[in-house]
Amino acid sequence: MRKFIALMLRAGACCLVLSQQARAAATNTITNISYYEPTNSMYLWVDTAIDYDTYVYYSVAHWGYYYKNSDIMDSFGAQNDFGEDAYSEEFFPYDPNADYTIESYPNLIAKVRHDYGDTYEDYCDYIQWAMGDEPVYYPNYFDFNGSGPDVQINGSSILLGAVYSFFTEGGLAGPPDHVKVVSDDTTYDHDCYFPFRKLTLQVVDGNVPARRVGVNISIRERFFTVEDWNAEIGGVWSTCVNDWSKPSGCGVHFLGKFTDNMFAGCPPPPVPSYCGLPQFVVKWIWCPRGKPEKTLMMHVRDETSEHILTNGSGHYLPGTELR
Amino acid sequence: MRRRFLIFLFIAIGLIAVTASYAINRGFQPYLPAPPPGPIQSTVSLGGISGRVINAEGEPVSGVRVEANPYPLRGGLVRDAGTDAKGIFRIYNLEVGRYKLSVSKEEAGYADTSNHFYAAGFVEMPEVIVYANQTVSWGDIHLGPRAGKLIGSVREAQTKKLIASNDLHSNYV
Repeated sequence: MRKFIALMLRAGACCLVLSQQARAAATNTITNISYYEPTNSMYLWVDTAIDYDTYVYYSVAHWGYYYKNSDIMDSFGAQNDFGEDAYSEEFFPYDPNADYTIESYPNLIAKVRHDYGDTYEDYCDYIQWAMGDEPVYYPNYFDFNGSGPDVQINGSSILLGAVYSFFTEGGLAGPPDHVKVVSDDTTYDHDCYFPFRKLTLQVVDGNVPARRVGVNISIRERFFTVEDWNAEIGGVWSTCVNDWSKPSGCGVHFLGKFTDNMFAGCPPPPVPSYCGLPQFVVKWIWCPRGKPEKTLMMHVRDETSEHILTNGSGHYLPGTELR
Repeated sequence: MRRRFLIFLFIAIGLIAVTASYAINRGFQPYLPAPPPGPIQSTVSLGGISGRVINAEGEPVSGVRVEANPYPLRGGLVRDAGTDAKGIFRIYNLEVGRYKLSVSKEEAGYADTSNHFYAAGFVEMPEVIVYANQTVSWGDIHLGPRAGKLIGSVREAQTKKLIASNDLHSNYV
């Protein structure tokens, strides 16, 4: 037992040292060494993250070794091209007489080494994904998907040097600016038959036409009064469920696509003939880590047991751009 | 002595009345004061879900968006994550409770399995219970069938001219 406690202390001290955020370029690496009781194992993991501005242009990767005393137990490596963390984890048999160590090396891999998408023309909503070996002499392949007709593209007009590139709608997407409707569906709760509106949106840039961002985006909600769109409120009272409806906190959404559920809430029986929330203003906000926030879209919301309206509208057509 | 008691009784009744009035009116209070500025602090218990998305052939699919839809229905932003090259996803920071998982990859023809029109009746949404400080490891989740596309145009009955900006709705029959 004493050995185990000593090990835990050593592992803890090791963890403290390694958990210090080690900056290499713009990466942050966090490591963990802990005891996993259900299988009597040691649980080691490594997480390397980069901020939004970095992962627009780079993929994050890491590699390294798991040590037991001075012996390498295994090596690890991970890469993420979609703006999420590079993550590795492994379990090892627990040895009460051993010291466990993680040695990790973060790495950034350039996605883009050329100008914005001005080297070829935009043919009907093409989405391009390019991959190549490193170092790159020519792309392994260019894969085009889109709703337009087949066209010939002169390969030499595409500048070489890109390892990974995120193109949407024919060009490299700029920073998040506003949103585009993907789908807008209203159904009815099975119990109280109140409307439930599911609005899925895509974050796009400020280009005309707008390009969808090709990376993960952090989004949060903030509520304001209708009287003063700068007077923030922490929540709105729903008379349907006698509880506060509060704004959602900052969370990462895959490739800038996110869903907002709108619902006044379903009360227990007897269901009142009418209930809801007072009108309020919702702002969807891009909340990048360590950067200023930016409002992508704002609207007046009216959620009741009879209807769910945003700026007076009960339904948006797919493709509608909202600011 | 009796006068003091009466004054005390009067103040006590007043306090009870004010408190009761506040409690009753609280139910009709529309707005909660704004949260203090600064980072958002979570005070609720959180957990997570992990799993793998596969296609009809049983192969893992990358780039799939997985959503954790609260169940029973609830308002607010829905937590989601994408699958990696091995089809693996991890959704973090979920409040403790029940969720239905939906998957989509529209650009490859896989519509959102939570869409009633697309998926009703033939795509099952896995139901997962999230516990505090745990990541629930779910098995494989199947993408729905590839969606078809209906293309057409709307014309004016008499003149046969094309009509733009129509909001068309489809219903099961």
